[in-house]
Amino acid sequence: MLFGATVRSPIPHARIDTIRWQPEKAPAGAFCLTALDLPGPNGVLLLNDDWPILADNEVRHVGEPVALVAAASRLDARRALAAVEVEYTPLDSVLDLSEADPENPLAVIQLEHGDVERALGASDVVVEGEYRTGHQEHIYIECQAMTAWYEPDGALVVKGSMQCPYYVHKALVHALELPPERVRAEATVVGGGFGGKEDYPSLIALHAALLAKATGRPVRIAYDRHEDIVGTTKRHPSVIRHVTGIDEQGQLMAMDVDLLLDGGSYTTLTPVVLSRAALHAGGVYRCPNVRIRARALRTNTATNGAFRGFGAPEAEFAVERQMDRVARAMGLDPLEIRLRNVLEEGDELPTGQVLDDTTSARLCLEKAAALTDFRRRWSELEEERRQRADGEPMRGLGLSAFFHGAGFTGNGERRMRSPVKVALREDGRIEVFTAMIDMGQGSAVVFPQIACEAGGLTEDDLVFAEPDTARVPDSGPTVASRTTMVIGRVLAEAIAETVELVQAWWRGTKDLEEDLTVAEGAVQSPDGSSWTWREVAASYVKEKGSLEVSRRYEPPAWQQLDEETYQGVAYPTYGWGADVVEVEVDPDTLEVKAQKVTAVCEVGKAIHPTLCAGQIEGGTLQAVSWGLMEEVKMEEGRYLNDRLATYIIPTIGDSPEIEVHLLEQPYEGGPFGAKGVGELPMDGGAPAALAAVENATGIWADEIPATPERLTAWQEAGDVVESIAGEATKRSSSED
Amino acid sequence: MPEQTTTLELRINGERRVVAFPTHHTLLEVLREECGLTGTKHGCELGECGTCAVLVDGRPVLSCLALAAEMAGREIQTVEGLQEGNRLHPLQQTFADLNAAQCGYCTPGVLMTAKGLLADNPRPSSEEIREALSGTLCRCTGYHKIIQAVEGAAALSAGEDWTPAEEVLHGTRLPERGSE
Amino acid sequence: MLRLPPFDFHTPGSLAEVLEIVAGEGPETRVVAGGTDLWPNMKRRHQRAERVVSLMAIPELAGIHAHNGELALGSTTTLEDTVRTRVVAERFPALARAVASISSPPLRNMGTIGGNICVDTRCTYYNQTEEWRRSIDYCMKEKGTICWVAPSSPRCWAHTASDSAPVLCALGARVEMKSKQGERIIPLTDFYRDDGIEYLDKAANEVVTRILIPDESDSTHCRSSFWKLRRRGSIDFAVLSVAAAVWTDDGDRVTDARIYLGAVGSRPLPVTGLAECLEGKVLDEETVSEAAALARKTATPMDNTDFQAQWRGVMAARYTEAALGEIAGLEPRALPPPHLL
Repeated sequence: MLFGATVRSPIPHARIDTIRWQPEKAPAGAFCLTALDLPGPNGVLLLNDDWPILADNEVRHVGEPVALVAAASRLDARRALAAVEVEYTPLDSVLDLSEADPENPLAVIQLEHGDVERALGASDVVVEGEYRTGHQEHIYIECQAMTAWYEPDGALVVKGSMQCPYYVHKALVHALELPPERVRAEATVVGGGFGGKEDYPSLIALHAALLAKATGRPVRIAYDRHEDIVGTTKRHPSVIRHVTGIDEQGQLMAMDVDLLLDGGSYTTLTPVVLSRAALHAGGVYRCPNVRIRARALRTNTATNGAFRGFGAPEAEFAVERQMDRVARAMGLDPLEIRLRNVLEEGDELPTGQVLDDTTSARLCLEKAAALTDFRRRWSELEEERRQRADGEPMRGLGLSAFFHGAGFTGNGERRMRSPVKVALREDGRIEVFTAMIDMGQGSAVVFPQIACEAGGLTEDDLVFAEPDTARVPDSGPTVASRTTMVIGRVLAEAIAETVELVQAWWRGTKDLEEDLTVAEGAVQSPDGSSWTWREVAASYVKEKGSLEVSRRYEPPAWQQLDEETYQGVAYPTYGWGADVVEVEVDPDTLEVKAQKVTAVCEVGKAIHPTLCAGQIEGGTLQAVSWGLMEEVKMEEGRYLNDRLATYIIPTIGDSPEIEVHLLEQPYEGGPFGAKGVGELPMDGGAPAALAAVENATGIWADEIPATPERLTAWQEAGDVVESIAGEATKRSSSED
Repeated sequence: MPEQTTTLELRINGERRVVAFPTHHTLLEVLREECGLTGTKHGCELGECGTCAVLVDGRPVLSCLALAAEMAGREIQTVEGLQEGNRLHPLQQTFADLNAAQCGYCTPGVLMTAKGLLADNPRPSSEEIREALSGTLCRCTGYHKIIQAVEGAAALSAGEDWTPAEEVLHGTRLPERGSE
Repeated sequence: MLRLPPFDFHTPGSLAEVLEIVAGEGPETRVVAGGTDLWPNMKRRHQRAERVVSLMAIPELAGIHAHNGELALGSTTTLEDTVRTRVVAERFPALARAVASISSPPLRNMGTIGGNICVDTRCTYYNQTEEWRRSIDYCMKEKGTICWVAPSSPRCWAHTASDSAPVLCALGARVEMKSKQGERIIPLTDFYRDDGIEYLDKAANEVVTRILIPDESDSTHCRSSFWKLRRRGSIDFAVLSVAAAVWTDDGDRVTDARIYLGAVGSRPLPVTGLAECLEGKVLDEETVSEAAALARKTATPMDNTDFQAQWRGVMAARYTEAALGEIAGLEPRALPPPHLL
């Protein structure tokens, strides 16, 4: 086995003049590979292939791979890096959205429902706000790692930590110009993903594979934490402007949203992230006139890609803070403004989708408000703030309401028609083949549960194949909160069909009149005879040969999105939620301590309540810490905090109490009514945390993370709630 | 410079084994690479995440910052030694029952640090649990199930009955549609 | 995985052997105790060594003993053992609190008190990977010529990162060092130099053996406090710390007072003019806030760690108020930092 390492650009934007490999300076036997040595196209195929495997002529961000080395030991690989000399000519660089060129976007989405200009003109009050979010780093505790080798028959195998074995497979087939059957991608147990192992594993797999091909030896590449933070994708920073028109009753008349995402240097998954951001930009509110203009711009920073929530947390942060701003302008409390506008069954989204009876925004809001006595406590804390002497402790309460489209956006599931295969084994067990992986979200528990329930089986009657592309069908990526809802459903169908076929055959062989029941692994006839599933199924295989059943996901016929106008049905259903965050703020330092979060989530059906609550707890903590503490700091495009002591995620001591309340409003398209849940909790924590800071301090916080330094600066600049009411344009008075 | 190597008898999980390794290798590297005990994970290698914690003479230490060469005569315990025969350690039992491990990657470090805590303080308060685990990062959970699992293991170790609390969920079932 | 470069490693059983090894060697030989500072620094390649000599096999260097009007902390006493030693917690509570705030519990089982007073100075431009530092042509502290925190400065501004140092300075502790030539004992305040590179008055052939804290600084004679600012209540280094010690007469009037600020200079910074300001006065809101204003003047943090520099300067006043307020028994107005909870 050889060990690979990566030469990376130290400059955000530069022309590569020369790359010189000096083997005499490297350990004996070390090997180097550059873009010139690639056997096929120099692109990682995701949506397109503009992401270079190795930079060719030009680097576009710090940390971009420029060359690969391999050597006999990890230490030698590191030494070999020093034998690669790269000369650059620096070019002008664009380091954040404020410098980015709006005319050369990575992606654009526009949608309009109603007539926003006219409705803004007719509104009684118009409120404007601008909201900013920063990069977020995934910090899965297991860094990216991949091993590649060639089998004796010449097939290429890569094995490592990945959410999407078929994305990796596709990228390898494309770049190495291999027939699909000559490539295998095998996912190991994944030590955390959060989206970070959706796109990036394709690149590291290509690196390992190219080195394995060039050296003829197995090659392993494992990143240390510095390299993982510097090299891999992150959550998109955003700048989102809202102009909102309201009538005298506090009803939304118009929403005009201009949404910018920082896509970084290459396309990766940015257009799809932008799409989800745009589709969530109006929040959970009914508004007859909505215009959303969403653009992703290029900067010379690392490519931004998939991260839990996929654009929706950025969009919902902005709209939730804007609703708080509207409430201030109207003199309403945060609950009231939401209750007056919250989406209900029969209402339309900006896409024109008419919401069905799985719409639970009001239910979640009311539940969260009741659980926390929100209205009374919020008003008391407002009063306390106004009366408070300098230096007294500051407490606050903040509310958010949110939703998350479950499954792939738009027509994605229709294009995929994801298959699940199940097969009877000789021992009577059913083997299940899907490409889904467990990265901590719990599919390894939930899938057997679904299969047992659907088939009347026990876990001992089931075997789950490892997610290896040589064995499992392409049931799509483990992303987008789709695993349980979409693949779980197909799994249930495939199992039910298999059980039905087997029991019907058994009934025939036994000359039984009536249907048999299968429950808890036993096949029973009404006359009281009983057999174990395993013996019945084993007999089937013995008599009839193997049985394989494949089922594909068919999205509901009414789920159609016009990808030009963005009108139609983007998601078949939505998960809904409301968070109430309680904070205490240090009057001297303005450090914020989140004390408690009450998270109410409507999930369709909690198939495994403990796991489901675990997802909500963990996602809520990630969301709150994104809002309060997580910050990727850069200087001239270089990361200043590429380690766990400086890129701060919460310790056990920073975690607030999180009280999870699960509501169930079953969605008939999901297994037993389940909706997707993995990303939902990421959408509400940050805006609620900042709203709580506002309630505690009076500081108007519109940018995350709301660090004490930023809060101090805003306070000194007079960004306080009292200024908002005056800012709102009173159209009625000015135009009279 | 030729690399210095060390040959030592290490005591790991009650077994003695003679291991030869490059002297500059950390205990983490020697456990994973020379001894094949890959249950001990790593997240930063700089003492900033707690993932690689093992017990040395009963106390949690960071194996990424300890040289294996200093381990002569010391009792090393890793996650592989946690269960006794076919019986799960109470911590393993409660972590499984509560799903206190999600992706499971930080879990070996959490388990060993918690074991060190319980040896020192058999009935820790939740504050003491927070303090003991304050050096271990977990990105999946909100940490609450970890705290509950350590409390549960303390109860089980004391011979008390323990079952995971149902009320963790505060679940609200809506009426079946059509049933009203 | 980040890995150490190869080196020769020695674990002598006696101090004499250690002193023999370090006597004839240059900077390529380093002494290590707990390793929690040296190993990360070597992994990131900003410290180098061809030979490393461990102190951990020398029994007499560990342990805490009271004698001759002093409490002697053996240099290889682990941080956890220091905190758990009842005499430390009872007689020097600010020291116990400072040591209990260092990094995280498992690290405190490894790191030592001697190592902590010698811990390397830190800086945003120094505590980075080799590749990162190469991309800025390194910095003055290691391989380079420029201090990137203050590019026109002739000196390095890396900041002290020890939590025990400001407390031990405030308590008037002394440090004992031994070499083949003999031993010397100097006040800890002289042990630290105002330079990010040559931050210790310690020769390469000298080994820190003990830290001596005088009885007149214990809780029967003096009240002390330690407050530490950082993002989280664990793992993180201080971005500011305030160690205060106050001696009073029978009428509660201040007879002596010392405050040392950590993490805002290359050494623990004494708040100048403090004793004069407080002498003969009772600690109350007014005197505490006067002292805090002095601390603000003393603290001129550079932009070389987490949190904005200017904000850290403002916090020096607030934390001084909190630390002195705690000593004076005033009603706390600030939330205690997480490690005090």
